[in-house]
Amino acid sequence: MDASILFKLAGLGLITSMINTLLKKSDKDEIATLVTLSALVLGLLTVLDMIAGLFDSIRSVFQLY
Amino acid sequence: MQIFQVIGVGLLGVIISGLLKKDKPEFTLLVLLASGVMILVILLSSLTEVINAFATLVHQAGLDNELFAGVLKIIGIGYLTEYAASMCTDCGAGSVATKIQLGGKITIFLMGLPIIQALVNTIAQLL
Repeated sequence: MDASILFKLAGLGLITSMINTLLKKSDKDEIATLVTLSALVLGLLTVLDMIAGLFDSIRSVFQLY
Repeated sequence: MQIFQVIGVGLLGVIISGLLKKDKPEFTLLVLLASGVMILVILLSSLTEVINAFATLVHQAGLDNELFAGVLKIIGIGYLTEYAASMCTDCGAGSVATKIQLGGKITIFLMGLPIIQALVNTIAQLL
């Protein structure tokens, strides 16, 4: 669990903002919103995986449920 | 020493969320969540050592294990609700955070009932 995931998310955010400005310049705004949405979904998936792992380990440590 | 890892990950998360705040504010939430999860995972390993030490202590003292399991559950619930509530306040949803804390208090109170009963029983036996 090193910090590579944080850098991945940061890269994702920066790339989406660049693509957005690019698409806005060539006045394709609807594609820009789609790109933002898909990037958000990707980021959310990775973070959800981490949260699921955290909850599993907490459940095993504290014998919850 | 885990404290350096914790500080490093925390500062890194704050810096990256600051970096992304200007043009992509929704990603700051993701980065904050990710750094929170990583810090908790780092701390969890040292927490298991403390819990194992307590388990052996309780075992030697002859107390029944069910009581200690209840206390452990309460700590786990407190651990989780604090994390969720602070995440919500980070993202500006203070009302949701207080709701989560209220839910945590209620479940902890529910978990605490058998412990209180056990306490009363032991006291009654003493008298």
